[in-house]
Amino acid sequence: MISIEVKDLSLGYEKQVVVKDLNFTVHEGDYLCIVGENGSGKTTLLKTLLSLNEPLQGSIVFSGGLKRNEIGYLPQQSNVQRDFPATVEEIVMSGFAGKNSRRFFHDESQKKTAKENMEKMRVADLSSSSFSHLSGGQQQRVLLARALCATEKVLLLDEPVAGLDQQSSTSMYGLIRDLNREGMTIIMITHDIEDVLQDATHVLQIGHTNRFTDIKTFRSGRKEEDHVG
Amino acid sequence: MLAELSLYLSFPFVRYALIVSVLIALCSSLLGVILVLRRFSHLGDGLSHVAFGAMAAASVAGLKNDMAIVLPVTVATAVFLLKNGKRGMIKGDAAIAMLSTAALAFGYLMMNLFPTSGNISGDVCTTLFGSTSILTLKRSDVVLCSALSFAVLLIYILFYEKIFAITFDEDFAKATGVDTARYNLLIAVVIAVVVVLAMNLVGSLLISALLVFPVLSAMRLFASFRNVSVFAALISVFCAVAGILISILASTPVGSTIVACDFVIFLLCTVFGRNG
Amino acid sequence: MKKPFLIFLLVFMCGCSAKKEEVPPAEKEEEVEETETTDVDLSFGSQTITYATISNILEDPQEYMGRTVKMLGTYRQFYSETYDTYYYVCMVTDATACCSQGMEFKLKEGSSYPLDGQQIILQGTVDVYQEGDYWYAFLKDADYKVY
Repeated sequence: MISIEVKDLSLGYEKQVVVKDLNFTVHEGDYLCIVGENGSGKTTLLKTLLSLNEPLQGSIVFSGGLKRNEIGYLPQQSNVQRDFPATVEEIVMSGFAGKNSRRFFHDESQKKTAKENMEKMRVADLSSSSFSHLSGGQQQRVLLARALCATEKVLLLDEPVAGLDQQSSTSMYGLIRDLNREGMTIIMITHDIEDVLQDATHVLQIGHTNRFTDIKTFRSGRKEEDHVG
Repeated sequence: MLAELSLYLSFPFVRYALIVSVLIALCSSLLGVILVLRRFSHLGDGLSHVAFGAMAAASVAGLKNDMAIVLPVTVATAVFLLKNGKRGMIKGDAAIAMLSTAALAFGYLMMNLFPTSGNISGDVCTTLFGSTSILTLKRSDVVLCSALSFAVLLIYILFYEKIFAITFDEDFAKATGVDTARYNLLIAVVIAVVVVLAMNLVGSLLISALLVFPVLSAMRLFASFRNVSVFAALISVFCAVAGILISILASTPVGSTIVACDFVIFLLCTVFGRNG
Repeated sequence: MKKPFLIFLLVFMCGCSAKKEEVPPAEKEEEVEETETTDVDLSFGSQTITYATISNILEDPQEYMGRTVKMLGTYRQFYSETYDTYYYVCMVTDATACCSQGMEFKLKEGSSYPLDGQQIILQGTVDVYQEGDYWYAFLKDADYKVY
C-alpha cells in the first residue's frame, strides 16, 4: 500500500515561512483536496511534494514502493506554454521522459500506453493536432493524459479547472473522479470545494491554521457553519 | 556564371567553407530551437560577446590557437548562466546583458591597448561581422569543427526526447524524474560550443540571427516539434550555402549575406505560413 | 519516424567525411586554369575570393609555392626606414572594405613599377623571402598590365 506521509513540514522562500507545521498522510486510493487563500502556500506544497522545492523543515516520506518518478503532475494552466509548436502526441509522449533514463527513444509499449491515455482523456482524435490550436479544456485534457503517462499511482493537480467554462469543468472533474475510482490517488488544489465534495475523501485546509480532515467530518463541520450563519 | 562558380569550387578553402558552414548551420539552428522556445534568445548573443572578449584576450596574450582560451571561457559562462535552469534565467537576463557588454568593451579596449596587428579595426570587424574568416580555414580547422559539429548533432538526436520534455515544461520534467540539472548543463556546454563555431561564420553580432531566424521561419509553417526542428535545420543549411555562394559571386560580406538570406526566407514563411 | 531520419543523417555524415578525404588529391588536379601559364586566376572575379585567396597565400605560402597567381588590385609603394628598402605591394580589400591585404611582388629585371594608386592586373610566381625573423610571401618574376 503506497502512502505519502508529511510530518511537521514548514515551507517558504528565502527564510520567509509560508506554511508551518503541516501534518497529514495520504493513502493509496485517497482523493485529497487542498484548499486555502491565495498565497497560502498550496502550490508550494505541491511543488515540494514533487521535489521541485526544498522544505524549510520537516519531512516527506514515500512508502509502499512509491518512487519519485512515479508521480504525475498537472501544473497550473498559466505555466504551460500555449504557443509551443508541438502536436498532442508529442506532448503526451513527453510524460515518459522521466522513465527513460537509460533509453534514448520511446518503445512500442509506451506508444500504446500513450494512446490509451489519450483515449481515456478523449483527445485521441486530436493526436496530430497542434497543441496551440486547442481550446482550454482540450489542452487540460492533453496535459492530464501526459500526467497519466508519468504515473499509474499518484496524480497531483494544481487547480485543474481554472479558466475553464462550466461544461469543461464538469467534464474534467468527471475524468478525475473516474481515475480515482480506478485506483489512482488524487491530490488536488482547488478553489471550488463544492464541486468535488461528493468525490473527495479528505480535505486539507492551509492558512493561518492548517486542518486535515476526512470528508465526513468536513461536511458535517460545514453543515454546522451553515446552521449557525 | 556556372563556369565561374566551378572555378571557385576548385579552391580548397571554398570547399572547406561550404562544409563547415553546413555543419554550423545545422547545429546552430537545432540549438536555436531550444533557445527560442525556452525564451533564452539573448543567450547566444551574450555568449558571443563573451567569446569576443576571450578572443581578444587570447590574441593579446599572443596565443596562436585562441580556441584554447575561447572555448573554455565561453563554456564556463554558459554553464554559469544556465545552471539554475528556467529560474536562473529570469535573473540571468540582466547578468547576460552585463557580462556581454563588459566582455565586448573589454575585448575592444585590449585590442586597442595591445595591438597585435596593424589593422585593429579590421580584426574587430572580422570578429564582429565575420567577413572572410570562414574562407581562410585550414584543414585542421575543418577537422576540429566537423568533430564538434558531429558531437553536437549526435547529442541532439540521442537526447531528443529529454530535450523536448525540458524545453516544453521543465517543472514537469523535473517532477517526473528527469535529471534537469544534468541536461541543462549539457545544453549549456553545447550552446557555448556552437556559438564559438558560429562566430567564424557570421561573426559575433550576427549570431543571434543564425540561431533564431530558421526556428521562427519553421514555426510559421509547421506545428510539430519534430517538423519545426527538421525544417529549421534545412532552412539554415540552405541559407548558409546560398549566402556563401552569393557573397562570392557578388562580392558581398559573407556573414551579412547569410543573415539576409535567413531574413528573406523568414519573410516568405510569414507571408505564406498558416501559423500566426 | 526516428529511424529514417537517423539513416539520412548517417549517410550525410559519411558523405561529408568522404568529401574531406578527396580534398588533397583533387586540389592538385583542378588547379590548371583558363590560361596556360596561370595557376590561380583571380583577375576577373569576386572580391571575396580574391581577398580570401591572398589571405590564404600570406598565411601559408608553402601551400602555393611555385604557383603562378594573377590578381587585380591597387598598386602601392611603401618605404621602410628600418630596413632601408622599398616594398611594392598590390592591395586588395575585402567585401566590407574595412580590411585590406597586400601581396608583395618584385618585377622582372629592368621593368619599371607602376604609379602609386594605379589599378593593375598583376601576375607572378609565389615565393618567400626572409627579413629579420620572419618569412614573407611575395610574387617573383612578376609583370603587370594597367587596368
